[in-house]
Amino acid sequence: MMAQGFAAALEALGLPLSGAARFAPFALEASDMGLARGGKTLAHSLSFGLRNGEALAILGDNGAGKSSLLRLMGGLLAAPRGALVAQGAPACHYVGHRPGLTAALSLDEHMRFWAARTLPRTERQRLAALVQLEGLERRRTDQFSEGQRRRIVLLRLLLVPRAVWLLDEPFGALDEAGKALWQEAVAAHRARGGAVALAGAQSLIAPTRRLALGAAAQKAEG
Amino acid sequence: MMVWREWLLWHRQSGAGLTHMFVLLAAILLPFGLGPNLPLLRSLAPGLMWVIVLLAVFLSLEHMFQPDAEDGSLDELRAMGGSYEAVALAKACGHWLAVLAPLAVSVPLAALLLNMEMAALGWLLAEFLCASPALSFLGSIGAALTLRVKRGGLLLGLIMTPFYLPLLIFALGGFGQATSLLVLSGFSLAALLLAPIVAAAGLRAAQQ
Repeated sequence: MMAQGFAAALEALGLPLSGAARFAPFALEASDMGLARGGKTLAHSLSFGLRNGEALAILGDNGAGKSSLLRLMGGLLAAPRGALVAQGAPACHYVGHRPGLTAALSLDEHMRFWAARTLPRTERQRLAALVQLEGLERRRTDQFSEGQRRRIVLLRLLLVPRAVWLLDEPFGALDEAGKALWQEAVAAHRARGGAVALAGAQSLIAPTRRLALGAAAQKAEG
Repeated sequence: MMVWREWLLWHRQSGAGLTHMFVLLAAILLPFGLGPNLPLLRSLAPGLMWVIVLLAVFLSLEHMFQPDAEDGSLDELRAMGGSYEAVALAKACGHWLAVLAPLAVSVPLAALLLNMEMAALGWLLAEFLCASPALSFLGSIGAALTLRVKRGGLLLGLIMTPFYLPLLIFALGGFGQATSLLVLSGFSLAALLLAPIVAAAGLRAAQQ
């Protein structure tokens, strides 16, 4: 029921995530790539790939480098050795622990900024309703709860079509309804040929491959 | 789009208002501090006004990148703008529109409080307008380079001093002559072209 409701709502809004348009083919390949942040080496040799429709689950303890790897994939961090080769130049959404919500701006203003086109009032209201925040568009984002803010970030992913979603433990403060919403969105995104790299809570999506960092990787090796 | 966002943020997060308050407060306090010597005030007024403006702008620089870096918006701005250079350009333009352009109102008011004569006030405004892009764009360099530095205010002061001194010297040295306007405009043009590149390097380093 939820799936139908969500998909129907996306159709009605004419959002990029709905409809038949698919992302162009792309491939992210890393072979023998190092990972370091702040001068500290987190991994020596990583090899993985990510293509349309796939989901990469990144495992590891706190501090193992999951966030750093996601930032590297998003072009926000440089690889000390080797490189991440991106064919098809896919654009990325990076959703980290601090997900880029500006406290002083309202939900409405965030939507207008992300949409980068004129969003009529009715559309904004329907978007807010999509993430169960109807009627709260005028509120500043610092007045929302953490779970609500996580749902606002989902709107950004829906409004700006980019092929790769890099999610760093996005399900933290969400309740069941919120988690279901994200699951729907991820499934819809993959169905359109997008890809997801996720750290944390992989049971909620169906990963096509797993990558372990830090102690988890060493455990796996022997 | 980014500049619209900057406008909203500067007006909501107290950055722009503080700058105006500083200018007016300084203009109110200085006559009391220097004594009721009207001719003295008049002769000192151009220099005083310039220093006040430079300090006021300096105070606002911290807020240029810091809030966005802290809440993760800087990453998203870069993703939307395509490069750190675009972000630096938008930020400097936003600062100019939101913080400096409105000073065109408080600067004359402050100058009157300092008993500046009308002709000098005209020159001051003209100089200020010619130099204002330089103030924003050079400021963006300082703000970007001190982004993740602890106690960055100290470093910011050190960085901005070699930028501000030439501006001040040329503004006051040629006060009342067209050459100062030309030189200040030259500074602004150079800053406009070069600052985004330097500021972008600072942002890139800070986000690693």
